Amino acid sequence: MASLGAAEPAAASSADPLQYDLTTVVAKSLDRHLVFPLLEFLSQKQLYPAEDIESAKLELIEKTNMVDYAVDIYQGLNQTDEVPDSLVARRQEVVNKLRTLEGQVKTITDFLSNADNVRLLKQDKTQNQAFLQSEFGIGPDQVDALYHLAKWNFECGNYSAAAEYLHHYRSLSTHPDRCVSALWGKVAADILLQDFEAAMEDLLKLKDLLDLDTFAPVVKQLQSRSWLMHWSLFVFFNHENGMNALIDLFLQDRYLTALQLTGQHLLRYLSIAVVINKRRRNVLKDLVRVIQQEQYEYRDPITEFLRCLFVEADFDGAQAWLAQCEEVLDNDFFLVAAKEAFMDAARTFLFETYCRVHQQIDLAELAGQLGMDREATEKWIVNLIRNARLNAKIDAKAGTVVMQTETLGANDALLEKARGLSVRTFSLANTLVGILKA
Amino acid sequence: MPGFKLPAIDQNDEDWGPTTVPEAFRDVPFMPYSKGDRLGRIADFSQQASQRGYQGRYRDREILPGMAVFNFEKGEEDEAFELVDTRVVTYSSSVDIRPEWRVLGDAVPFTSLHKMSSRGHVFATDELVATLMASPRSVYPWDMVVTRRGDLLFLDKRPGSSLDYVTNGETSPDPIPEDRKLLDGLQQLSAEATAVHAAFRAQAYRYRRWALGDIDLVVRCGVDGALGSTEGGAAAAAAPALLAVHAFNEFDPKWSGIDWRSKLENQRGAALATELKNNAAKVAKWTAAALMAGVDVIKLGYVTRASPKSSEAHLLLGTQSVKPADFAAQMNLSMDNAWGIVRALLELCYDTMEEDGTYLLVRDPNKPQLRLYAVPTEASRAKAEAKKEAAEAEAPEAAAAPETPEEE
Repeated sequence: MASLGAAEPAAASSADPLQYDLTTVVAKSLDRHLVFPLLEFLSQKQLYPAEDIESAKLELIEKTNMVDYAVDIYQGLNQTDEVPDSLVARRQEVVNKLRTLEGQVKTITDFLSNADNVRLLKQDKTQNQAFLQSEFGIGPDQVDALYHLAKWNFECGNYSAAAEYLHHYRSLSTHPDRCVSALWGKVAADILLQDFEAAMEDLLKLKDLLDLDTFAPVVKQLQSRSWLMHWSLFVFFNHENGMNALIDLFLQDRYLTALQLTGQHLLRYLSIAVVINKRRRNVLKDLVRVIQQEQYEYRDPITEFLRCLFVEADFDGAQAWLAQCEEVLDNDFFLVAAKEAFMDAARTFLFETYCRVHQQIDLAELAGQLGMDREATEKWIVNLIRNARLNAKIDAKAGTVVMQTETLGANDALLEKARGLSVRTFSLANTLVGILKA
Repeated sequence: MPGFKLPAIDQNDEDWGPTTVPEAFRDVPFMPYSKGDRLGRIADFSQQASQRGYQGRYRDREILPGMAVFNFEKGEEDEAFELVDTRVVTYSSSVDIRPEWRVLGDAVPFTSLHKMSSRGHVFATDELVATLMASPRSVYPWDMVVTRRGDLLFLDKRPGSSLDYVTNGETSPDPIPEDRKLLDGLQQLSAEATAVHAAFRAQAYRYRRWALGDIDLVVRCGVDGALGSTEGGAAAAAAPALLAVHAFNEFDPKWSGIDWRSKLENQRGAALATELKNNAAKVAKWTAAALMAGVDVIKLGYVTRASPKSSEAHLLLGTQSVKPADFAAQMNLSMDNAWGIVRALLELCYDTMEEDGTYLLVRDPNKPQLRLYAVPTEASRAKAEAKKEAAEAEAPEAAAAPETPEEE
């Protein structure tokens, strides 16, 4: 009888909880503002010294317009009530610029605040441009100012205003590059406002735009795709249909190429999505192939778990890695909410594969491994058998699960072969007749 | 507890989105590749990005945007540079250009023909004038003899000229190779199309006359039939509708992608559109000729091979009638432009030709342009002899009476 050993493989021992932290890697492909939630999460988890995180926040914030927030952090860090002069001056500068920009776009905001006016706008942007110019005196300068105002508001942390201005800017502007940029900004604002429905919609729009722009330098396209994948993590792990969308996006040829060339760490998120999403078992093979290819570039407990299970058939190793996965997921901003689902699905994976290669499994031992009592284990197994369509029976008396293998009798096997032969002969004869006729 | 250091965050002051490119790929030529591919495949940067049915080893490869960087496009300004393997089918000239022939004027590039908008009498057949009119659409080489006698200008074919043949597949995106050994080679298909065409129609002639500025043009136009109304009433009393009859022929259903046997019933529009695409020059000639002859209806027949392997036996699958003017509009053939081309070329002839002489207008086999050669007297004499022989061999066409179209 086979048993599930619990021996730790050497590679998995003495794990450093931060060894697999991707925060700094992911942050490189994010907007400055999108890094805040990650830092916030790290400080909650208390994985790093609090002052390190706070100074990182300050460093991050200094280049934005969120002066008040910067002051808070500064005071907290330095244990003082003083406000540095540079920040006071900066605050004034920010407010002034905001006033100027608001003045410049007043005609547009007035126009847009009236719903009747907005209804006058047509699909055709050039037509709108002429219409606005002649009827309301709104020219390209004002539309540009709208964009700058959106950016300025965004930098101030005023994301809802930014999102609204960007929405209007996109409906008025004909500037191709700025329209793409505005959509990036809109996605960021949606994410920061935690409006994931809108974020999902805008993300897919952005993807379409990027996919259309095949004339951009190839390396730039690569970078854009890589960024899009990083940003999408915020959306996909918070959206109802996110796992499906993540698999769809990441496994598209162009995006998979970008992942393999510049963002191998994204494999973690792809792996999680595939494992959790039971309906997408068909992509597992592709995923495992990529994990194998990228083994030299990137490995973490999640990818190693899948590799051990599906490439090495090393159940002990897989189990040990799985134990580490829990911690990794716990400390990952994007994955913490998916932890339970992943662990469940991964366990199912493990035992399903295990059952497929063993004839008999001892229930008591299994119960011990799963940390459940015998009855619960039995129920769990029954469900598993039903869902995975395994051909298995539970021998209650011996306390074992017996896996049934399907083998054809010699007679049946011969009949099966013979049937195949007649079909083949028929098609060959048909082809021959076709050739002779021609 | 290990410390935390903020990595370099992309700083985008004005916009959103990435501003940098991945460090590893900065300033190097780069094309996306799949790590699962073999090295040879990854390194094969040079495949043609736009070739349909690429015959190389890596046919299934998605055409990636970066490939274009590595594909040489022969620019107009770079005359000295010739890409050795352009995968473009080349054709030999329709006439052996002799070194002693003198080139008259500059070559006439087709692009200039689109921009065009005198003195003497010109005689020609509808076929030749239509050839001139449709010349911007032609791909295969051709040539015609221009003879000047004082004020008179005659356009004529050489005996055995390529203009005697109806082409097939001339303007298709998949060029037909010029290979006499192939069943579906250029000459074979043309011979077949001509035979099919001849079997499908019978001609009478009417002579029509146009004034192009101060050039007086007389053209012998072919009319293939007339359609009288079988119903009584006033319509029957009116003149019968004049017909031009032409045949499309299909040699391999797989080649065009539209199998007439199965598609002609329900998707006649698609079959016609494919013919318009693959035989733009031929159809433009027919239409121009029909408009010149003033026929009311062009009858098009769809003829296919009884078996794709043999060019001997054919079947008529169906016919279709179109109005010449509508048809011209459909293929974007402007008669104004067409007459402009004729007039411009005739004026060129009058401008450059001496009083008496024989000249040859040749469509360059591989470049979209026309050239005018002055043929020295020896050559023209030999040609005249050859022409006489050919004329004796052929039935005298001129016997047909003008203005009396045959009844169908």
